[in-house]
Order: sequence, then C-alpha cells, then structure tokens
Amino acid sequence: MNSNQNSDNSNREKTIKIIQTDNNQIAIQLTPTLPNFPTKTDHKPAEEIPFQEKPSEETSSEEKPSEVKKSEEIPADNNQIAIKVTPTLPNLPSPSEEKPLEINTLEEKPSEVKPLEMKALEIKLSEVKPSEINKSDEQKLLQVILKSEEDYLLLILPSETETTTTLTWGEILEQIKIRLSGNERFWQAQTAVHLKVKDRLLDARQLQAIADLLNEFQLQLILIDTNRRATAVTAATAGYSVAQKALFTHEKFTESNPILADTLYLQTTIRSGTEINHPGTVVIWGDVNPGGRVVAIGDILIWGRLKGFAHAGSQGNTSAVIMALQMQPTQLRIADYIARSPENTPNQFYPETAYITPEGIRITRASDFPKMSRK
Amino acid sequence: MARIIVVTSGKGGVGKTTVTANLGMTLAKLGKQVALVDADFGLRNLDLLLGLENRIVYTAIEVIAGECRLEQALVKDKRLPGLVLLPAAQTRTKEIIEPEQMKALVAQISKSFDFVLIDSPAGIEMGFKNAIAPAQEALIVTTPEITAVRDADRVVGLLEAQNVKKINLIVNRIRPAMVKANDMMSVQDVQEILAIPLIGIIPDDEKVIVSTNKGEPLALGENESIPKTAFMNIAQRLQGKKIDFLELNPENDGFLTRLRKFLKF
Repeated sequence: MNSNQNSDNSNREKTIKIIQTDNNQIAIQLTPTLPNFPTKTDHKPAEEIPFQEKPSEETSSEEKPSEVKKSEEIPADNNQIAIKVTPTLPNLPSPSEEKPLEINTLEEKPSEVKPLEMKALEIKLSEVKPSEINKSDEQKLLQVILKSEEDYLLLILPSETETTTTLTWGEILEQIKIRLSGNERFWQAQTAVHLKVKDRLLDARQLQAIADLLNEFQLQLILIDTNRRATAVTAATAGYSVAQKALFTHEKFTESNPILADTLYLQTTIRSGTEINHPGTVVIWGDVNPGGRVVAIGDILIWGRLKGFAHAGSQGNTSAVIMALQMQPTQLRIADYIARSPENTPNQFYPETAYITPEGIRITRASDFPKMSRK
Repeated sequence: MARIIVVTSGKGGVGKTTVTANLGMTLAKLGKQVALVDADFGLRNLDLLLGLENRIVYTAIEVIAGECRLEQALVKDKRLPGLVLLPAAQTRTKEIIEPEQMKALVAQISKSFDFVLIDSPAGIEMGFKNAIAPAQEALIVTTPEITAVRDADRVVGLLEAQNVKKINLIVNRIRPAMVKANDMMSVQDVQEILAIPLIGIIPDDEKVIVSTNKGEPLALGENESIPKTAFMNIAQRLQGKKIDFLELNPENDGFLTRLRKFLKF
C-alpha cells in the first residue's frame, strides 16, 4: 500500500511500531483514539494525497478532524492529481498549537514536531482504560445480521441484554429492511429463513411483521431460534419450527471473531440518519447522503457519491480502504484515523480511493490505486 | 452555574435552530461561555447551521452511554472562542434517551458555562420532553401566523406545567409592510394571545436564508444587518438590560425596495 516504503526505512520502522500499538487497541476504535504523529513526508508520488490525522484522546473539537484542504489540483506527471492539504495538528496536551501544517506532496519536510507527538502518544497509551475496550463488540451486537448458510438464510436480531443501549422495535425493522433491500439477486425465490432472536422477547405481532417483511422479499420464515420460552411458544403457536437451543454452528458469528462476515451488498441510497454497520466489507450501489453513515470492519466500496460518513476497518484494520465514484465525504475514518473533507469542492470528480499511509489518510485516483498497492 | 434556556416553539420551521445558533453566537461574542445543546435527535440541524457538521466525532448519545467524556463530544467553534456545540445523534431516534438522562447531561455541562441553550425539536413528544426537562427558562419562538401562535400557546402551557416559570417570547419573521397592510398578525396580536413577556422581534430577511445555507450564522459575520442587531438586543435583554425594540417600519425600506414598490404600481 505504501509506495514510499523504501524511501526512508528508519522513519518507516518507527511508524510501523506506532501503528502496531494502535492495533492493540482494536476494540476501542470509536472511543478516544490516539494523537496523530505526523511523520516525515518523504519523496512520494504526487498522487498520494495527505489527508489526515487521528483524533486525540484529549479533547474537544479543536483536535477533531483536521482542517484538510483539498485545494487546487496540481497537475503532476501522467495526469495524476495531487491535492495540497493543510491539515491542522490536533491540540495535544503538549503546547503544540494548531498551526496549519503544509504538507507538500513533493518535497522533504522537516520532522521537528514528531518527537513531541510521539511522547504524547505514549502517555495516551497508558491512559487507556480497560473499561473502554468492549465498545466495538457491543456495536456489532447492536446490528441485525443477515447471513447465508448452505441452503437457508440466517437472520440474527441483536440481543436485548448483552448491550447497554438497545434498539427499538422500529429500528430493528428498519435495519432488516435495509439488509434485505437490493439483495434479491443473492437468493432464490422462497428461500428459507431461520430467525435467531437470542434473548429477545417477540410477540405474535412482531413475529408476523418480520414474516411479512421477509415475504416482501420473497423469503420464507420457517424457523425461530430463541433462548426465551415465551418467544418459543409464540413461534410454535404461529406455526413456525422452533429451536430453543443453539443447534447451529453459526454461534461463532456473534462472538468476536476475527473472520469477517460475508460482504454486505446494498442497492439503495443511504440517507441521512441511516447507519450501516457491518462486520465485513460493504458494497453500496447508490449514494451515501450527508448524515448517512457506513461503518465496516472491512473495506467500503461505494458505487455512487459518498457525501456522508464512512468508517472502514472500524476494528482497527489499517489496510482497509474506502472507494467511491465521487468522494465528497463529511468525514472519513479508517481504523482510528479521521479525515475531514476539504472546504472547497473540486469541480471535477473521478473515482477515488482513500487509504492509510504513515502520514494519515490519503486519497488517490481509484484507477491508480492498484498500481500503488502492488508491492 | 449556567443559565439553562430551552428554545422551543411547538410548530416546526419557525426558526428555533436559527435563533439558537445566532443567539448563542451573539452571547459568545459578548464574552460569555456558551454551550449549545442539540436536542433534536434523529433530525439534527444545529451542527449544519453552525457549519460544524464535519467536525463531529462523538455525540450526546456516546456521552450518555459513557463511551466518551463530555469534553470530547463538545465541538468547539474555531471562529468564536467561548462557543461549543454538543451534537445530537443522527442515526438514533428521540426515544433513545430519557428526560432524566438529559437532565444529568445538561447539569454536567452547566458547570463550566454561563449559558446553556437547548435547541428543542418541533412537536411535544419525547424529544420535546427531553429538551425541556433540564431547562430553567424558555424562549418561545413563533412566527406571526395563527398556526405557530396556537402551537406556541400549547407549549407555554406545557412549560408552565413543568415548572418552567421564566418564559420569554421571540417573534420571528415579521414583515412590517404586511403588518401595516393588515395582512399579517402584528407583534401586539401575538403577545395578546400568548401573554408572556416579549424579548425580541426579528424581521424576515433573506440574509438569514443565505447565512443558513452557508453554515455561517449572521451573528458571526462582520456585516451589520437588522436581524443581527435584533439578536444583539435579545442577548442584551437576556442579561437584564433594558433596550428599546427595533422600529420596524416599512418606510425604513431601502431605496431599491421603494423603487420596486413604485414600479409595481
């Protein structure tokens, strides 16, 4: 991924170390993250666009997403576009003021700020509280999951008791709808669905609502898997098969498991207020509007306009990427890096890819990205 | 301790969020420490109006759930020291939090600010209840329309039932020419129905729309405008100063308006 890997080895090693420490924090990706560590900008191809910085644990907005300016496009060799960025350093506890740091993509940069930032980083690490660690698991548990098994689909509803915040019934239905929409091509008509509800209590009306919803997408609810007696009775009364113990091997799925879920493929517009949160890669055929959120443990590919929020590698995977046909995000996050969109919008768009470099999040033309990531 | 003021209206679209943003900025300009709290969960707008949308990392939901500290969620406005925004969550609905949680949250904020302005959602359901729960005072925003005034009246009643005693009125989007022609309710008409003290009159002005779309509240800009003065007056009156209300006469129209009028006839 990093095309500059052989240019400054010592510097790079240092950087890698820090990234690894970040990886240890996989679980706290959405909780306060570490301060950034702008590293030396060395000679790099013009198409790498420094975009970013990380949020710091200390703070309020000043060190929130850096001021990133995608200013004029500077034509570089072979029509690649370089974008000049002026990130603002986060205000660390250290006296470093938020001075605009001009990272020129084409020239050497003094790295004076670095030692300071790294010190701050160490301090931060020791401050990480173990109590903050479960958050991302919890987020995963808050999601409705649709998974295809050998000859049926498995629909898993979030647990009611394992999380601190619960989804309302309306939100659950909404999520099921989103999961199903645009996915018809992935199953045959009248495919069987097993519904796993864990400890969630469902009444006959709610069960019917889910069955109706599945019906709309030509799916058939046949089995309900639950830990609750009452739900089992309701399901049996309504004529569904019931499994009261975890009979299936899919149990692994809800545990924190490093193996990613199936790619989520959605053909829909993600509108303001909608959040897609998926433990795998997400492909969206449609736009992500401002106020819409896509969070994925894997990559995010948007065949449309990305105008909202996207967080790839949400469990800390720094090699995750975000691609969009038109990249105008409100905010981008990859692992625990944050980038804010530039103030002025370019007048021309082409497919772009956002990825992490030691300097933070960068954006490059999507068509150039495969060449660069080839080692 | 901060003064905790909820900005509410009952009816939607009368300018609650615009008033909250501009008043907050004006107070901050007067040197006060101001926290703006967006209580419109699921349909948040205050961040947009303030031009702070892309700076949000955490929201009130994360603070309430204990997933981050309050200071981390407060978005500071770089243009105006002394002003912070506590954003609402966009992906959840208003039912997700309860009045007690909102109270605790605002109590926590109020420790370090002079003013906490809560931007209430429209309606009188859960979101409204959450917004008014922590409030000591209220600003009722209404436009001179019977629908808005009727809803405002209902809200005043609900606030009084909630023991919010200090309720002031802001009449927004007055068009002096229409009032004069008897085509619009006058401020006096509105006041007669609501019978609460008037604290501000804001004329209808296209500049407000422009500033809204830019994410730069009028109060922030350097250019003088009548709405900006109106907000300044409200901020002063909030602090107990006696300031005369703006004379909004259609005669005061600029040359262009007069010319336009002339050509019409």
